[in-house]
Amino acid sequence: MSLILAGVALAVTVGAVIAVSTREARVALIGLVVTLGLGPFLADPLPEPAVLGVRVISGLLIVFVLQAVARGDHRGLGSRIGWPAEALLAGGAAITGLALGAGLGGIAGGAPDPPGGPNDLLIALTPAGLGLAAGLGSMAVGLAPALLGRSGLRVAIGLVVLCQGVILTRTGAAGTPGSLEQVGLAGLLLALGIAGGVLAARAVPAAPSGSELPVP
Amino acid sequence: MSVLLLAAIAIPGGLLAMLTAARPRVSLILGGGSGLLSLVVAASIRASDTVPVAGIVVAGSDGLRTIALSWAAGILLLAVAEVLVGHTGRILGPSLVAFGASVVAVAVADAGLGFALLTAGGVAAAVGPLVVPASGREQTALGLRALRAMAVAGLTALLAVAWGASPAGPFAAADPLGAVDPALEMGLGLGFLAVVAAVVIRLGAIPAHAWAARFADSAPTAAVPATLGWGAAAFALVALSWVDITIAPTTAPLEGERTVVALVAAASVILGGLAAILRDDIEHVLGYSIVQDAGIALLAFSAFRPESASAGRDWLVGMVAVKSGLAAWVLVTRSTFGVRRVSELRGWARRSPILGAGFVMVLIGAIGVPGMATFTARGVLTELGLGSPFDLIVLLAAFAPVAYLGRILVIGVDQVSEPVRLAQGLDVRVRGFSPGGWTGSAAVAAVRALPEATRANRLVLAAASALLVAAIGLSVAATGLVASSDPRAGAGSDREAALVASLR
Repeated sequence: MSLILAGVALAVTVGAVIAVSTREARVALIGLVVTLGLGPFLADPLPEPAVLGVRVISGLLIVFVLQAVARGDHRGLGSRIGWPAEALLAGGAAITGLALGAGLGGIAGGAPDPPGGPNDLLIALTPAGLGLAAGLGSMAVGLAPALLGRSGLRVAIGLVVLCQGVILTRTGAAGTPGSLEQVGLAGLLLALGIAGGVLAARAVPAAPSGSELPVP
Repeated sequence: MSVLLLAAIAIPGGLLAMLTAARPRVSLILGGGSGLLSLVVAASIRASDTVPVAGIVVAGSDGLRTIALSWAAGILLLAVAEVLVGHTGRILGPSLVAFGASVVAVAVADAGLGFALLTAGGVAAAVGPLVVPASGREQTALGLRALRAMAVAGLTALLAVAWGASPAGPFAAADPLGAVDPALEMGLGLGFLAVVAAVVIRLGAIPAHAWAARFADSAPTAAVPATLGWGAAAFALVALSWVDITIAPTTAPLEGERTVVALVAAASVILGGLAAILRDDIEHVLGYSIVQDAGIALLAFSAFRPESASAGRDWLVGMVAVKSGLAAWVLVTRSTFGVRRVSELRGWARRSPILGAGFVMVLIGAIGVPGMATFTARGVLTELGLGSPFDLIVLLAAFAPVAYLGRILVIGVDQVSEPVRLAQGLDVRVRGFSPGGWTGSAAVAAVRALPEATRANRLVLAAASALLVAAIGLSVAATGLVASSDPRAGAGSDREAALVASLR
């Protein structure tokens, strides 16, 4: 179970890195589909099927809206520091998340030591740790485009990745949210994604090529 | 059930109004109908109205009814005023969405759900009027700025709530009978500061005032109450309840953190009031007066006492109701006289006594008189939130409305300036209709004359709408929320029960 969850966490984090790194709008949206589509499954216990459906469909709806926006000329996508640096950033944050998850497990009087002893890597692969890893990883890469991005579409993608990161962090730290809260969180993601998308559709990119950092 | 019914009417109605914004009449009918229905349902909210939904209690209360009724009436009257002064009523849809989401957020026991709904509703209220039906580059930039502020505030609050509910939070880690562990105390301090920072951003208090001041200046004036008024107040109400239940019951003193909050609050009160006095633009005066009110509301967070929380609730609700009246006055005054500088508005009250009457109500509500809920709340908040003699200094600064609103009123009864003199449509006119007795034909003639009479008197009617919003504001400021009718009382008690259960 932990290995499957680890795979999901890895996919979610990689999707977030792709979404904020690439200059191609379509590729960025594929990354977003992975992050938003698999994110709701990164929980133990899993939410009810209806709630999972709401979360996944709301994620797809966001991507659908952003895809309609991305048909226009949207310069300013992509990370100036490049995908390797973004991946390192996400990886560092994810390791922090795994450590936090292990710490939280200890506070809660969690799982017994794994067969390899307390220093075994497997001890960190708890559902809480994996949720925190994917959440903090997504937040780390989503923060800059959300707050400093100049292109409307980049801001929208950044906000959605950041919000998904917060939801995953919340799930990792405090357990699977209740059904009503999941619906509320899906509504929040939808509101941010659609508002960002509509603003992106009306925005004219301010920078010729894109990033949040000033051109030297 | 009434809270859920209200949300089921307001949110879809608002979304439909937004989606049909390209056809203003259809949008107006859908939004207006939903708004009227919401108003009726809001009046039926009762304290005994408690419904469990998917494990979360949705609880009505008398305080929630006050908020919902005042807000719904304000939305409708502001939309009427906006249409009468020549706009399309574009605020109706976004405001309704924010209204529906916020009422549920205040009614539920789960702070995480509350912050999520409030942020989603806030995004709709802030961005909707800027993009529906069309927007320029400046409005788009303003929308992005507001969107970022909403997102940062909401997501920060969600992270703090997640920490509070985690094994490292006080529900699991605190010893109810012993001293607080230093690590937990640090966590409590950080969680407290995170939630207060979210409130500072959402309310637009100093130092996070830039987006709010820009929004009040450039966004449609009728959109300001839903974004910086009611919506922000609901966010602060949920945050106040979370602090009450998560942070305040622990024995951690958090003196350093509370001092930081008190400093931020004092800065907002003093500098916000000063900026409102120095500004000559009525929209800037509106924006900075909201910043000042936010400062006083923040004082509720700097003292962990039930009296300060109760006073904070009274202040928040009373002041946003009063500032809705000021926003309505700004909207109608600017459209009527075509100017936005105070210095160009000489004699405005003499030319439009209805607007003058509304403004006097706003002035009384903002300054307060002894016995009014907001007057008492302001005194309690400064006394409990700040040490002597700083409380007196801040209390004195909190009376800045005497200067910045008093100046506008004094100018209003001065010699009439040229732009004010040239303003048309300020006198009541009845054309093409003369009553001919209680006959059927006279009634038909009256009905037929109604559209023309409305058109001929649109500015007078808009002023009357602003007067009504101001009257509602004054009544809410006078009565406040009765202590026993805390809008989140039901939510709080459930959370406390959950806390006790987890500690066992």
